[in-house]
Amino acid sequence: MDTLQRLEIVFEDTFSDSSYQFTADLTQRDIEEWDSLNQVRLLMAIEQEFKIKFDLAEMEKLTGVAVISEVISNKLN
Amino acid sequence: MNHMPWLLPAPDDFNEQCAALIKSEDSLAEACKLSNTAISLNQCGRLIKALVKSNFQQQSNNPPMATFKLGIVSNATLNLFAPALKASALRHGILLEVIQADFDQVIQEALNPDSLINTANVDAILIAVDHRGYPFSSETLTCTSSGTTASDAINYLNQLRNGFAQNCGAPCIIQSLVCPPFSLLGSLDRQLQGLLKKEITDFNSLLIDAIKDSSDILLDIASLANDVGTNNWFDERQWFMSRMPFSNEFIPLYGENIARTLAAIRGKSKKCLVLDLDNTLWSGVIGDDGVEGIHIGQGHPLGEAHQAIQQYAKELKNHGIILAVCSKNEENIALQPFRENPDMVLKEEDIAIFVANWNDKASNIKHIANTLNIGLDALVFVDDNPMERDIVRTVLPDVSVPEIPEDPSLIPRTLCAAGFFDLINFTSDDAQRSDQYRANAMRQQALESSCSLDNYLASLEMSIELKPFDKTGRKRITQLINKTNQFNLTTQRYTETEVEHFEANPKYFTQQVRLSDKFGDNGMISILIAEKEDKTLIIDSWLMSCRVIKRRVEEVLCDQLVATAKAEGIETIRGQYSPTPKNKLVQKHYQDLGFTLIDTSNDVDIWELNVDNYQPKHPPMEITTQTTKPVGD
Repeated sequence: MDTLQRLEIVFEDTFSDSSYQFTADLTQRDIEEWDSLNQVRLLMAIEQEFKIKFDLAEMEKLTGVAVISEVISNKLN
Repeated sequence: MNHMPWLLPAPDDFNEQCAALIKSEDSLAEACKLSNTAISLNQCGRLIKALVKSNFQQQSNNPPMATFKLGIVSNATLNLFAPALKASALRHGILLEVIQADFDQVIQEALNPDSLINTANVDAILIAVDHRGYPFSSETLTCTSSGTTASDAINYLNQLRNGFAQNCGAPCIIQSLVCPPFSLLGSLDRQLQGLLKKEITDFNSLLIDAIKDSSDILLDIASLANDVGTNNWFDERQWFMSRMPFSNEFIPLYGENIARTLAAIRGKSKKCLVLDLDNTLWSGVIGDDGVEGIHIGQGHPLGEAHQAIQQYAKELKNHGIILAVCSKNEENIALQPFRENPDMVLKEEDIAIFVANWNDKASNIKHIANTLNIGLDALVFVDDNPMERDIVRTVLPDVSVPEIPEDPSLIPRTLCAAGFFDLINFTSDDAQRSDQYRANAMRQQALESSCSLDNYLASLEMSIELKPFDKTGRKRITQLINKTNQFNLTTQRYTETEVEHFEANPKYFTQQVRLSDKFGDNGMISILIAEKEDKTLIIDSWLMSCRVIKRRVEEVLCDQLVATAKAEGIETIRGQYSPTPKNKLVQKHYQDLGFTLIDTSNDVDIWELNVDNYQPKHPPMEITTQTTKPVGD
């Protein structure tokens, strides 16, 4: 599975609302549940899935699928 | 990483199973089954949402569950906790309702009689306050305490406890504090006043003294965090971003620990450890390898690992846990190591029931529960063979069957972490319990050798003591009230505070009963609570430990009840039988004592006795009574 497919599963696990369309363009604005608390929940789930750690500075900026997958790829390489 | 290795992993199709349970006819049973796996924080949330969406409350075939209403106050963000607590509670047979105070509303909740928690009629209050919520430190200080000491923090805690005690009355569950992984001056941090590690260490020991002799309960989060490592437990990023008190990866484990405490309050701690033999208690197969061929004890690494498992079981036995053996073996061969190998920590007399035969293990485990007269849900079955575990899980879903690591050196820590035997208090009765079960087996033999039941009862030389509730008995009374299921007419549960209330209120007639005989002391075994209302005495609770059924104890208690009633001018005694899945044993209790059935509506049988028509039973035993409360108690 590539990074986006794995991310999609993490999103499915994290958010119970499934009315959004998972694409690289998806951002925090598109999912009502994606508030600041669930942001932490999402990022911790991503850390566990990819066995990586985000920096505090990154955590605030990771508000869309595109930037999340870019940061993940950088960390994995 | 799986932080709960004693649980099976969550199924791969977890999300699909959650969706299916919404529409199922057995939503609650299916939710309980899913909760009994190592589910993540996200899965806890999904499971609870699915259960709420289902119409389980209208379903008729729900499994029997205890209920619990827990209030929570905290200095940190709790929003993610409730689903994990509820999912963990399901794992322990509890339907949990959570009343959550707003962020950082702690002292306000305690002191204001009209606060959310104080008006919610909760069963207990979790004070989920970490070191940053006590007057030690500001939220960002990490090594030093801000001029205040452990005793200042304890004073603050006592203010909270007193507030809740006065305004709400439910017991507090108080967390020990975790030392964050920071040191200013190295090892001196643990020694020097004003440094946080020293103050937290002092706080934790002062806390133990502060709650001694109260109904408040310690939740040892410090140990939990130590076990997982405080570098993992604390995540500063999550604290700075959203005031998460510890890494949210551990919320399911934390919820599991809280659920266990609630289960212990509800009397659901396990009572009996059922052990396999080959490759569990020793390394090797006794039937093939023989006494000399198996490894147990010093000088062989695997032998030492298995000896450590035996040591753990022995220590549980010394603290009142019943040990049983369930093995596929010839009995005389299986007993050989116990009799001939001096390195065996467990001896034959440590095992209350020894079952070694070729029957399937599920039937044998059922036989063990029946013989001990305890529920299947009080058993923990430990077997190295995954197939045996799977069969027992399938056939006897009420039995706890932990996953066992293949490496035997990891078995004791896995069983400890599973916390099956977690207790909230430990009485002298608990310590004697496993000896009492052995004595029961001896009584069984005496019964078989005497010709009539009355001869047998007389031969026991029983001595019974009845007295009103008092402070000394309070803990054991509360424990009996909360864990007795079978001989229990109404299955009313009460907290220690409520028990204290019965003690003090002259409207209530209370009795605690102790029984001993020539084989040993059974300790406190029966409880009665009745309320006087004009010329009627209404029995609120009547319960008895199943260890002493068919000993005519209830007749002594009834004689005493009627005598007291007459002395106080009471004409009628009213009792009720409220059926549960477990108390069919006492369906005819009042009938046998001479009561008359007057009403059976609402699924509850109401029985009455005119005290003038009562024939005292005078069973053969020495009776000591104490009717007035002792002076100065």
